[in-house]
Amino acid sequence: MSLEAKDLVKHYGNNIALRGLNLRVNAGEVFCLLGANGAGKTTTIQLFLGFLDPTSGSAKIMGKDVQEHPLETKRFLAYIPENVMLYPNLTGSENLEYFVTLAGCSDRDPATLTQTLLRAGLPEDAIHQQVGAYSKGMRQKVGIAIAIARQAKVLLLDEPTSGLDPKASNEFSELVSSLRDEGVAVLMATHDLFRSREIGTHIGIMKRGQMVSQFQASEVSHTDLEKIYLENMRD
Amino acid sequence: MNSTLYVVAQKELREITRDGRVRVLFAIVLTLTLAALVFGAQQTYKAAQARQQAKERAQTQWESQGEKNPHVAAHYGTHVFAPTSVATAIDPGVSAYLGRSIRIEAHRRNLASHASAQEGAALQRHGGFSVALVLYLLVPLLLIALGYGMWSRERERGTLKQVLSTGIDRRTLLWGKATALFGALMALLLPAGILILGVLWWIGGGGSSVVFRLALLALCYILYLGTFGALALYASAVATTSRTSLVTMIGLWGLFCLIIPRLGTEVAGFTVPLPSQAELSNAIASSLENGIDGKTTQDDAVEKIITALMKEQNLANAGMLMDEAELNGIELRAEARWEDQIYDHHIAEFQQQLTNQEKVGAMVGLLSPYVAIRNLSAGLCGTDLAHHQHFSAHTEQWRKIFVDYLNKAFAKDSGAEGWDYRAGPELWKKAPPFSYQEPGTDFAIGNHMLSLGALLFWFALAFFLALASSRRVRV
Repeated sequence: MSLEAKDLVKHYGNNIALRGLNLRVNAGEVFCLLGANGAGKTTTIQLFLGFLDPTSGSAKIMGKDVQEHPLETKRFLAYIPENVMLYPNLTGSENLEYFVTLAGCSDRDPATLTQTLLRAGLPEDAIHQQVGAYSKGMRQKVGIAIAIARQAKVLLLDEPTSGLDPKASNEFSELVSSLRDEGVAVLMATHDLFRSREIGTHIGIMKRGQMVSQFQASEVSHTDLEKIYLENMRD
Repeated sequence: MNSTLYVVAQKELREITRDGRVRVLFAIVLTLTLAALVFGAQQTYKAAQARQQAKERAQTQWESQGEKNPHVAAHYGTHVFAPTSVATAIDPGVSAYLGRSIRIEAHRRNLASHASAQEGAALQRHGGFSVALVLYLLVPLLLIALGYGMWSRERERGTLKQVLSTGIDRRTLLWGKATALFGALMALLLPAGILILGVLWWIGGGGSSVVFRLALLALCYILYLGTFGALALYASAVATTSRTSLVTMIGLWGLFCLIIPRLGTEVAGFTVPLPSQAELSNAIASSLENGIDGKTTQDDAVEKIITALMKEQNLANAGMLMDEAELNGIELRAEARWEDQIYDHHIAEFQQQLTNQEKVGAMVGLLSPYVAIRNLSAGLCGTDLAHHQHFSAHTEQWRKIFVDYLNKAFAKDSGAEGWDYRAGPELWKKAPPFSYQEPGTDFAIGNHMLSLGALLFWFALAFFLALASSRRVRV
């Protein structure tokens, strides 16, 4: 089991963000979390990252509890948020080298890093440009390159295609699909029903901190998914 | 070095060097440091030359004063000049306010005069632009500019989440950032240090003792500046925004470098008030008349000393058998001893008050690393009050020997001529020469143990805060 949430509860004061969430993602699966704003998707991702402590329950990565092994569990994962934030004064390859080194990867050969950036879809002429001049799509690609270079076993994506143009979004989805095919477990929080149906193996719909519906992506059509989602969003 | 730590430091330094604003700031501080050094070296060189010329002139005047009675020659007197330490080029300390020469004469212990602050232009009187001033006032601002956003800016632009998601230990991140700050500081201090050694070599006088003092000074400055760097990292970690971190650090800088030193001066002046020069002179005049206890007349006191002196020389019962000149000589020596007692008492009291003022200032300075480094810097450069007092005490010891030498010559050689006796250049040339060796580094440090303790305390506290806050940096 690559990712596992067991009875995960998170309170922010009186506000309950998660109410006993349970989910499992195996290697080679993409679990898409759908839900309105405030449903608890980002909180779930943050709990797996160890940036938040659960009120109760547990989050495990590769069988290890995130709270008990905060550094070790991070070695397995890569994280791509809605906006991949990089150092604007460093070039794409310098940013990649930096994050890969922090993650403890031994292979930091410049040629390999360049190949990784090219594989992630970054234009060759942009590789040695400072990131301050990059578009959002290019930054997301560096984010994917970081995940590839780190050989992450788990990918946590928090609305990664939000704000990308359709072409960039499609390219991004293709990269995630290829990582899935290589055996990476992916947990993706998103609002994009189309993409979740396309690249997801499993889909979960969250509402007010609870998983209200969970099914395999192959079981539903795009139209069915939209119907199920809207039904669940009704009060 | 741990490779991850090295990579973090390298990344931080890359960011610093690629930021145009930081480059400009860095260039300004480096230029100011170098300009201050050149200015200080020029001043020190000029002062050393002027001192040498004045010393030679005083010696010539003394030796060519013509024939006169030795005691009259003691009244004629001479001047001695405080040495100009080459380290003055770095930190003039309080030397500009304490006088550079002391007039030597019979019956009177003079305080140092000809302070450059009394003679210089208005700008010089304001304490002046020195390497030390740049190091303890401006370089902290540069460190604040480099360090205030090291955590908070990462948090604001979202890179902190990205970084922490790699599983890096926060302590490694902190050490990497601290190493980058240290590297930036060294990039500033190393060229300045090399230039300082070059300038000292040019001025001539940078012996091993001076180099040792400067090495200690560099260490103290690293502790001081390290304190500001660590505090900037702390503020950056705990502040909600970079702006808050910057404002907090500028506020701390103002408190440490402007408000507390001023407060220290005020508190010291209030708790240990000093007499004015007129009050001191009046007190000495009164004691010369009526003794320190206010009950002993000068005549009685001198009489007692004469008796003691005659006893010392086995002349207790010689009385009438002695010639008048010998008796005059003994009387003069007794008078000198009486006056010395009075002067020593009042000047020691005055200097103790000055030392106490400094101590109070240093105590208040526990609240500010700036006050600590200011005291240590002046101490290690030999430009503090303690060094001045050391020179002053040595000079007074020599004055007593010098006057006694002339009075003894009068007693011994005047014979029947008495006050009409005239000595010549031979006697003047044989007078004990004035030589002065600056005290060692242990003296410099020993006088500022409180400041050294305060500096170490601040450094340890700042690093503890930086370390503790790095564990709790909000994502």
